[in-house]
Amino acid sequence: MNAGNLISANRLHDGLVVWLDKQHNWVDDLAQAHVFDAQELDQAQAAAQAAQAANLIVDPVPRPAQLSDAGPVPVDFREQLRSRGPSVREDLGKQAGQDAVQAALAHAPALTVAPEHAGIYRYDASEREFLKERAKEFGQQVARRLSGELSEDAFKVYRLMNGLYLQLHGYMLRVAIPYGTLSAIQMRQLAYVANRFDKGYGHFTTRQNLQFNWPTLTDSPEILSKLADVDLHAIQTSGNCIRNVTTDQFAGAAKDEVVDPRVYAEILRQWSTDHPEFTYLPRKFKIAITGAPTDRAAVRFHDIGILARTNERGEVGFQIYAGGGLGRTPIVGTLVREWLPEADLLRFVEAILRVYNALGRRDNIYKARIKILIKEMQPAKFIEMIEEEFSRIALTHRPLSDEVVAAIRDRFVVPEFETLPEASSEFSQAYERDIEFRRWVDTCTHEHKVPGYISAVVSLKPAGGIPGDASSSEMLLLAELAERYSFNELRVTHEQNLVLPHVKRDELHALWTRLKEGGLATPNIGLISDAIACPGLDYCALANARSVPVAQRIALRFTEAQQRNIGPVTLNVSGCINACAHHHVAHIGILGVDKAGKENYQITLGGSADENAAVGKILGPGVTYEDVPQVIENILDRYLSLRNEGERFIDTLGRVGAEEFKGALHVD
Amino acid sequence: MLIDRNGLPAADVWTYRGAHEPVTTQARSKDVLPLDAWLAANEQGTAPAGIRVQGHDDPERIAALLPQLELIVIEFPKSRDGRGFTLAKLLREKWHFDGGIRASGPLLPDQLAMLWACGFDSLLSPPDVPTARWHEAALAAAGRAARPRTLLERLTA
Repeated sequence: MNAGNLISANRLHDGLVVWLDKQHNWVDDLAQAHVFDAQELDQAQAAAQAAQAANLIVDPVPRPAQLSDAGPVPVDFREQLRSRGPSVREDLGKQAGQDAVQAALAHAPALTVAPEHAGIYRYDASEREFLKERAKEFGQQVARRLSGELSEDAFKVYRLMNGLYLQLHGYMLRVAIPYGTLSAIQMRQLAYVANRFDKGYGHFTTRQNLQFNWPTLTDSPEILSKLADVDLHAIQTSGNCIRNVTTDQFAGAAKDEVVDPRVYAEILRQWSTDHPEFTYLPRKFKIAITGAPTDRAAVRFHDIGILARTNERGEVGFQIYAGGGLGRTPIVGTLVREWLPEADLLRFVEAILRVYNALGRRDNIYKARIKILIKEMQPAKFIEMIEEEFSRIALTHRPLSDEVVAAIRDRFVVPEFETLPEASSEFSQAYERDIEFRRWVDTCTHEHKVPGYISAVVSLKPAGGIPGDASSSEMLLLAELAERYSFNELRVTHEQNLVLPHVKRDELHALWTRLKEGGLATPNIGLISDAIACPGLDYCALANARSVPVAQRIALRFTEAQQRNIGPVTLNVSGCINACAHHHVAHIGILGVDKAGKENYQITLGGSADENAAVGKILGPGVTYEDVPQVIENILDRYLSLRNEGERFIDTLGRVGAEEFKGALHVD
Repeated sequence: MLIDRNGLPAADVWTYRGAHEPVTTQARSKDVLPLDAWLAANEQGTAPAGIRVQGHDDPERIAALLPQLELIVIEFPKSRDGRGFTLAKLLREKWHFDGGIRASGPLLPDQLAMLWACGFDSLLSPPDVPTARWHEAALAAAGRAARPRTLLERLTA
């Protein structure tokens, strides 16, 4: 029997979770909160509405609670988490007490002078001015919100355009990392922001972005200004606009690459930032581009997916997909153009966006993505419409000229690679001698196009760690290692790891030694513990279930040797149907749902995000939080007993079919 | 309140009429009628020079009427509904309409630069926005328009 309801809200200026006490004051300690009975509730809600109108709090809602000796106990798991903090970080949030975090923070040095060029792509001076200006503008918008000139509804448009969300425990700022490329100096500044304005860490996402989980509203303009000093920003990381363009994490380095996709990703970034016509679309819009035959950017699962290639004359062109996506309606994109000449890139993308903006559904948020438009109007009709619009604008809009492409390409810092032999005896000797190093090399490196170089993947999935999280000291170490070993460059992968793209083979062992000292040499890339996990119910206001501890418990279930024996397998865990962890396209996908107030998990098998794009199929009834690791172990045991020599999990599954794995759902 | 190209309040010579007002407009008068009412008036030969359309109205339907129009008011149902931007752009670029295109609805001052860039040249301010905000926004928009922001913009200007 519930004693009544708490009135729960977030404080406007810092986002902190607060409740009403008996005298209708807002308190941030649950023990002091009051549980209002049926008679008291109306008055309490009126007080909450008044506080909202007075711009003190946002989103007040009644939450059922019981009473114990220690005070109110929320009935919902979500509200329990709000009252404590993330279950996976007991050192954070209300559960940690006042001093814990402040004491834990070392102070990273701030950049005293903003560098002229901070990024791997060198901005025009006017671009940084624009970013500084935007930060200032946002400061004015925040001031207007706090003064009450802007309502929460009106302000939300600005807040989201600048990447600031209101999440479970408070505000969250999503920083764009365009096409996942970071310089050492930018990484250092992220560490500074993490220490100065957050709680000493950041979370790398599946869209190659970085999220800070604890900024206040009042600090946010200053954070944006600090980011602008190193040419970083949070523009269009939220809202119904064109989001950060993502690409292959090995772009510009991979041996199999045909075209460097970053040049086109940057052109698209410049074109789409603050776009006058396409900033208020029916829904968010995600573009991915790759330039290698192996698709490491999951382009077929994006609103627009672009495969850059060359024709027999060596000219660059693109194969274009549209309407791919995950979420509630997972669907592989439709091929809308087999060959698009380089010069037509922006005109064609503009045509797609225009048709979508005019006709995409706005009556139902779940049917507003371009994938639904294409499905409802039929692909053939959609293609006809975009081609018609394209031919119209092709008459008046200038093409993307070679000169423009070349000018933008020239703005990318090109590493001064040495001429080296393909083989490195130093590397081979270390590889032979040091088994631990060999295991790391086997899983965590990728072939480089320049002889004598290699790309190193830094796993952000240590056993029991939080997928994608990096502490500020890890960020600082990686910045240093990027300077020392990788021409200042770092990449963020959509699997939530980091890459040092340009490492000399000769120096790989030295790099590995440093990574190992820093706890960053987990040799698990592509293995079962290299799971993708969204923040889930531990942080996210939309989630229905936790995802991080699910991934953690699975990872801890297998020793490194067992993982190597199982071999390559992708495991993605999403905490709700929005599928931020892309569970549909994992070999093993896990979707958390709320089943009568309890966390429950659906298992899908057979998804694939690469050039063999496929959506996984649900294996059977959902399983409990407790049972998930056992079920995954059952699935993998079954695979081990069925596999032929050298056969990967996904291939065995393809050969024998999912039926063979159904028994795995039974846990005694 | 009418806000002009410079973000300043301006005298409005137009009369905005509802769909059900029992008025008879005169042909080419400075009245604004909703699309259906305008079409009905046109049947009678009394269509005014102004029309009010929604962002979701089919531009092909409006295109045929353009020679009779001096002002098109595009209504935004929500500040986050961006269809009006595309509609204005099509009217300007596809059908070369050179009369006035006026935005109306719960618009935000920070959208002014985007409105102007898509072909709007005036707007009807919602009552809750302080008038000064539009002027500030217009100055910022002019500053931004005068100076290309990105390399791409500069090279393709």
